[in-house]
Amino acid sequence: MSTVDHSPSDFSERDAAIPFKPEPESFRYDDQIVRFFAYATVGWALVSFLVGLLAALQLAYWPFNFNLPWLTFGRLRPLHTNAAIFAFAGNAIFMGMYHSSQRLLKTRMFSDALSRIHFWGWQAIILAAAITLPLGYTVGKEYAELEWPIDIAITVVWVAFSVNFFITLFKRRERHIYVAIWFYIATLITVALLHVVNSVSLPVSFLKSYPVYAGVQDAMVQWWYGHNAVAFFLTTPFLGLMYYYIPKAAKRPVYSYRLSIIHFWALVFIYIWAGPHHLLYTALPEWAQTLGMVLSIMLWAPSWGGMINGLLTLRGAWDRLRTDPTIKFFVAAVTFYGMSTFEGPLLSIKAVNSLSHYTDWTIGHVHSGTLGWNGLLTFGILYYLVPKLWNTKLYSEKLANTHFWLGISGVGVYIVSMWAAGVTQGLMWRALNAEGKLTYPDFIETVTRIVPLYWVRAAGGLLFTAGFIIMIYNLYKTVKSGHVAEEKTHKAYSLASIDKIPAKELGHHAHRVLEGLPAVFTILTILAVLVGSIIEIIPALTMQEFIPRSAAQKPYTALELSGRDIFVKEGCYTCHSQMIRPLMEETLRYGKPSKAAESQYDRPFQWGSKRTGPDLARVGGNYPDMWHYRHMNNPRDIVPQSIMPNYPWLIKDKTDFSIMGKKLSVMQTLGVPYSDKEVENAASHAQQQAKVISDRLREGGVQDPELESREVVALIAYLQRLGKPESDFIAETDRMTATGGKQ
Amino acid sequence: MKSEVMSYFHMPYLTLIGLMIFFSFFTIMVLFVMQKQRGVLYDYLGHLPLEEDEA
Repeated sequence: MSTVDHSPSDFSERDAAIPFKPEPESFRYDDQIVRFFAYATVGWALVSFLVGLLAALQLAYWPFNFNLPWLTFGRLRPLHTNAAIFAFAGNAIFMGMYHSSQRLLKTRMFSDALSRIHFWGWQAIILAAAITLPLGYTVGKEYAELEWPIDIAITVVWVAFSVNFFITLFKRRERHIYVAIWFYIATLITVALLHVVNSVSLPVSFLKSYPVYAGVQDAMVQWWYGHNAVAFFLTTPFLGLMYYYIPKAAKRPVYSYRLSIIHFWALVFIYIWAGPHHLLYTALPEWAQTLGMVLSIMLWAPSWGGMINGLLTLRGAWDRLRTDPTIKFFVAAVTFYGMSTFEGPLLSIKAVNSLSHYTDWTIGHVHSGTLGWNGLLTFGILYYLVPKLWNTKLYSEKLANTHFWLGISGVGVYIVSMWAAGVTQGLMWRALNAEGKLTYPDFIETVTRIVPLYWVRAAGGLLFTAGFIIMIYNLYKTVKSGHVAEEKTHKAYSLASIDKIPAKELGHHAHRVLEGLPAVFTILTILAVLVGSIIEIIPALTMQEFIPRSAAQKPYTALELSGRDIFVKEGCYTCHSQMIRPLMEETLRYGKPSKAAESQYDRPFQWGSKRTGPDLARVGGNYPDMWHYRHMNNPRDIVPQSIMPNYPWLIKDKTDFSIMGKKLSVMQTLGVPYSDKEVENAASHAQQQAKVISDRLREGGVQDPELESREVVALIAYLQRLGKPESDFIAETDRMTATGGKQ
Repeated sequence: MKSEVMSYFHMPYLTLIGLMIFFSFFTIMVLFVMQKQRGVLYDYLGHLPLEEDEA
């Protein structure tokens, strides 16, 4: 082991001993961009937390949906998740990356202009998301809801960021690349790959598109993306931040640099495989599910290696845990990282997943990660950075401590309530009586039982948000008391100069090994990520070999497809799954297990991930059209204890028949076997089907001369089709044609 | 369980290749990282964040 002392004075002595003495270069860091991202982090965090709090209250008390389309849970939930992941966590990542990368690489960012393009571009994207999602413009794939023009904007901004980052990396003044930068590189590469592959879609109009993948393929690609959005947007960049800011705050080097390297490679290599654990017991091929489960369990090792490395960095400084709020936040964050990365693999075990999936247990798990790990780590970084960026001291350590206790209490209350709700509901769903029948056959019984826990969850969110608002005040006062000083000038040797200095003179032996070769390192990272991706995605894209496609399964009619688009637009998938698992209790409750072929034309797939309401895979034909009409207008007319929002606008708003031909045409291009005639006559065909449904509704007492054109009619057409290989309307039309119109 | 898994799986070589790549990569990486002489470099790298105390 080296005994080299790395104090700054030692470096001066070291420099004096260097025989070749190049002139050091002067440079300044761009801290203004860090301040920009700090403002954005705090601002968007507030939006994200408040929207999350409202969504939590909506589940506890349905009138909080306010009968307004843009405030209903189905539209707000995607806004909340996008705001939390891409706005709050995204800006936090960028804040930390811009700050730490410049210092670790001993250079200013390559281009201030690209940094600003990144900042303003990202804020514009978030703003576009905040406008379009409540208005119902969504692709309907979790965490990838944004429509194609915004997806393109994300790609452009990400490329600008990457160009800036990689050129900065190549013009650095430190030969060796610290492990935090490795995690940033993995983030940049993998997020780009995930976003591009998952977002490929064919536009129908400016804000409407259909994914190129369908059914099982779409599910596989989506959860490869969705899981790795967690891995490479909420984990690897934050681990990079952990490896920089915990040593800084503790004033100690990372506990084991060796462990950090093993942590990095194992994590990057394994994480990418684990996506299928989101699809256990679904129609995904069994081998892919098992692969996802095994690789998820393997993740325990690197995740806990990282957690231990983070915590043990505080060796010898544990006393500061009592006094330093920044250290408190860091320790709590890393502890939550350990908890959530223990829980994730646990939930990936099929036996556990059969209980937990579709319940609030998953919601509790993701919030222990986002609030506990991402949230608390970000707060710690803000408490560390803001006083330094504004050249002052933190306004109040007491308020920071209050924030800390409110924050962890909030997360604790949140996740415990969701564990209780999830386990309770999961056990109620599967409970069978002595006769082998469901103990709780009415789904609503399992909902009303857990509504009190939804209030507790909202209380947890309120505590967390209250603590955060205290932080805003504390940071505001800190900024007010400080000032933005002129950028300091720093000095370091250029890379070319360093290469002329013998390595041993610099305090280490090896030069130009992996840590000094960013291009080789980047390629190795790409390969590590690609191995898992290719092995999982190739079968997904050649799925015809595995998944029997059914000729009996017919495409949706034009009206059903439009109804499906309304289903997606309203975010129904946020509360209703369309995937019956091959489990006894599910078969008893919903019917026979879903098959892959049944969603072969589904773009996007709508298997869902949460059942706040019952599964809808076989709801078609279970209830009359009038039931659905009344249920959409006011669910409590049908189920008095229902917590579903009212959808009165579906009774009034009109379906756009003029775009149906275009929709079918796009689907035809994507391989759905619509005939040219069907495409050409899409609108008139849809009107005929709407008339049949409307006539039935009129028989039930609905008085609306324009009923055929209402959105609810298209939605009913879609819901009545679910679980059937062919539209009843088509079957009836064919029968009439065959019999010459005789009944 | 095994037969259930394999009944759907027609490309077993894919996961086998993946396992071999991962195992080889991981073994080489650990052996590389654990080399005694690399300790000096890692000590140097571990101290990189601490070089500048001002921020």
